[in-house]
Amino acid sequence: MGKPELKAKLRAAELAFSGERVRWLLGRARHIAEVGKLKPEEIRELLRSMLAEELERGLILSELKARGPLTVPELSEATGLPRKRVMWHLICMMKDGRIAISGKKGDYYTFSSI
Amino acid sequence: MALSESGNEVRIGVYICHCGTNIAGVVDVEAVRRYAERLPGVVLARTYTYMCSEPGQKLIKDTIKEYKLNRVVVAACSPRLHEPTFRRCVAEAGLNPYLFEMANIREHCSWVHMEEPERATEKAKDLVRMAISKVSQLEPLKPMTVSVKRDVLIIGGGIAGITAALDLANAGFKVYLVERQPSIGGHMAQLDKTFPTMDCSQCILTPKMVDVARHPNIELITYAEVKALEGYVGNFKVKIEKKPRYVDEDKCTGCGVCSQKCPVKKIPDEFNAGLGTRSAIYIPFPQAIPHIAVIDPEHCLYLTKGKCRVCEKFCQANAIDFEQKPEEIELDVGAIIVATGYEVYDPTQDEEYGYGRYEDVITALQMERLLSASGPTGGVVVRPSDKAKPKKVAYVQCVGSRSKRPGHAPYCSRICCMYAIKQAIQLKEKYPDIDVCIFYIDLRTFGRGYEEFYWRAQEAGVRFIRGRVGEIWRNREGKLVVRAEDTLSGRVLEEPFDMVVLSAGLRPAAGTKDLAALLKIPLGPDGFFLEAHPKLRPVDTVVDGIFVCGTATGPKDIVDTVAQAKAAAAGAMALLSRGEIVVEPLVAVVDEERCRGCGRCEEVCEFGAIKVVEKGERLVAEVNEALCKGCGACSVRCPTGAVKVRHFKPGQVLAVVRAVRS
Amino acid sequence: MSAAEGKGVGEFEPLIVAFCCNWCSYAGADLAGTSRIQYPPTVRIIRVMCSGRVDPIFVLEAFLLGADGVLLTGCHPGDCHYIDGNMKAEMRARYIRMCLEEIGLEPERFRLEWVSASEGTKFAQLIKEFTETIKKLGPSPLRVKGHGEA
Repeated sequence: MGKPELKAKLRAAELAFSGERVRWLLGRARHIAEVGKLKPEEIRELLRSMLAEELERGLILSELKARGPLTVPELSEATGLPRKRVMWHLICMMKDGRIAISGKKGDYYTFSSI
Repeated sequence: MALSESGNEVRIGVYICHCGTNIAGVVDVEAVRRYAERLPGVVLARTYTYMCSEPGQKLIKDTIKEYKLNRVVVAACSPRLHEPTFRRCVAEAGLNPYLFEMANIREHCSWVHMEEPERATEKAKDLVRMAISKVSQLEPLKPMTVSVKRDVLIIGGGIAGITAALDLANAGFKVYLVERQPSIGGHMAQLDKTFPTMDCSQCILTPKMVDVARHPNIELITYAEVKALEGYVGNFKVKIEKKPRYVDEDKCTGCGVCSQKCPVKKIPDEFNAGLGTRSAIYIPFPQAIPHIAVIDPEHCLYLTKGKCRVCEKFCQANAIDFEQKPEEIELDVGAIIVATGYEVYDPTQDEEYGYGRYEDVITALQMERLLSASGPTGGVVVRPSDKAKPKKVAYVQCVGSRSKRPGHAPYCSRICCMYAIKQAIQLKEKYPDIDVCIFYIDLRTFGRGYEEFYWRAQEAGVRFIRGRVGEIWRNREGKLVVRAEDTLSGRVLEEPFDMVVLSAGLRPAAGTKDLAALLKIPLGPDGFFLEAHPKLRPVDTVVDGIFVCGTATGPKDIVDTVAQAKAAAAGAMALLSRGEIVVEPLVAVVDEERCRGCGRCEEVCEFGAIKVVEKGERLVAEVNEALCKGCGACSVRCPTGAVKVRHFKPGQVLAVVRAVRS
Repeated sequence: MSAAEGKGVGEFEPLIVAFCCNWCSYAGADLAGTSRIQYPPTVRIIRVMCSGRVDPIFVLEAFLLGADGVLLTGCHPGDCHYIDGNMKAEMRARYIRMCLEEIGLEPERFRLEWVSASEGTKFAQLIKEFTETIKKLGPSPLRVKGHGEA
């Protein structure tokens, strides 16, 4: 893997670990295991999939922070994620206040980080 | 120009210590100085042979003033050694002592890379650069003063607790002495004589016990245990639960008639280590303090079956009160001294010795009760089985100690050699024709007068055989045969004895684990309370304000116990004498604008130091600065970055990380 | 370790960042120094009060800056000065490793170890072993220039 790609992923990871979801789950994993009566492998899977999602969101946020407001196709190109996935991430991040619609570029809306 | 977090210009002075040749012999300190000089924010860089010395400190102070420095970095030994020294030095020059950072270029550099001076020098440059980066981000902080209560709680009423209580009370402090048993005195009250002077144990202990009872500054709370602890140094809130005696402490005169009349008689007596008996209502021993009866709820006919009440009929003081309930007592104290003592190892599991199987195999504590004039046999030593006087007594040393077997302890219990020798001398003095043989592995007679005491035993005719005892069994004549190795003659011997005394080792007192969890102080791997430093801080714990002394931290004799008790009392006095203490301000701080009041910090804090409170119309987290230990758990949990730990804020730590690579 | 080791042409000198807690592992490192136990000069120690203070972000930042390996050291379970800060660190260490796997960085570059204040030898041994591990893994893909060049 190339250096710039790894750097971007590390930055995305930092953003993920600064984010509420990861920070909250880090502290509550044990409790969830007890209350939800999940097996250790199930917990690990849960955390892994959540972490993977947050890393992708971190990538999106990194791009927005570095380059300003971007459209879904631009973000898809920059991060390598399919457009549908980018859209889904943006919607989730809008819900928890990390992203907002900032304007329009041609036919597409642009999103920026808050 | 380098800027601090708040945007002001930093003017850093860097001082690099040669430490004689300790640093300069490996690291090229001049090269490090030249390097540091050119870094952003650094106004000057100096070296000196011994930076912590007078001239070294003077150099720092003079240059701070001359160059109007507002940050200082000292590259020298470990901050664990001299951070306080240099902080004081810097403060004397008028600079806030928290605008100071050390680079460890000795323990972490010159001393461990002695064969690689070039790489060590490069590493020293990195470490100095990291310290400079951190110091640029530090903020001035003020130590906090916290007012303290001048009352002290002592947990445990044995000789350690009693000694500490008297020292504190005589110095004018109010003392609460809490004891789990119905009487104070501990194990020392069970001893007949003490080594090596052969003082009568009760004679030296009882006056102190009476002093405790009479002292206006000591409140004695017996038959009680500590149940909960909250708070912090100088301001502890303790909950004590006092068990019901079913006897009114104010009315009981200690006449003992109740005990005589009580129909339930044959209960094995704890004070006599199971060799004697007592009634269901009893006074623990003749010199008990408080000298008040107590009813054993497991054996009392009324409390178990609703019958009897004879004691009530005969009590002239009307002191019996079957309606008594447990009492909860809340205390506010400034310091706590843990003096909970020890218990004796139970050798039942060591089947080879036959303890529990043969009545005439007893522990040394039980022999102590037989020797004692106030014991179950009035001081006449007899075999428990047939009450005959023993002609031959064997002692087995190191029972349960110095061993890797499961259930055994690896440590030496320190006092067993001495107490065995003491009891052997006593037996010889009482019964000149008795044959006493001590089977030992080593003889540890380390203290003042102890070796001479051992010679005295030899002169008295006590036999000493160096070798392990492999087995003890009863032969057809009813004698206890001891099979042991005699290492000096190289033979295995089998000798019949009338009694065998096991020198059982010491263990932490029952309930130590629970108490440690309650007080939040750690235990050592041996199960005893852990002191803050094994050499330099033997009576402190890692929790400020909680001291520990006596056998609670491990086996020791009475002289060491008393010395430690006095040390703990002095520690508490030093802490509380000024009415206030200074606490380091390296604690958590909440940025209220960023705080959402989510409470995750409160969930994770082990010390209850951060709580969500209402402020105006918002919920925000608030830090109790005296409780906060500065561990940072809350800071890592905080989703908004509102909670930070001073001196180790994320920005400050990250500054160091970023400076690792230039 | 002699002066000749690690300086051969083509061999790289790892850069290891170690977070050490003030009460245990930092003191253990001090003891290694007092006892003059020698180990490779590859580690740069960052002092924190508790291993539980170490935010995963600090570790990620260290890798971002080009560290070849990161160590998180703390007190043995049950010995933490702050009760169980080290246990919190252990939980985080798992997720950090998980994260490194997700990103595509070898998780062996990050290690959690318990070192007590009396374990000077253990600390030195840890640095020696970890340096070897990192040497085998090779330099971090994020390395810019040679380590130690100003």
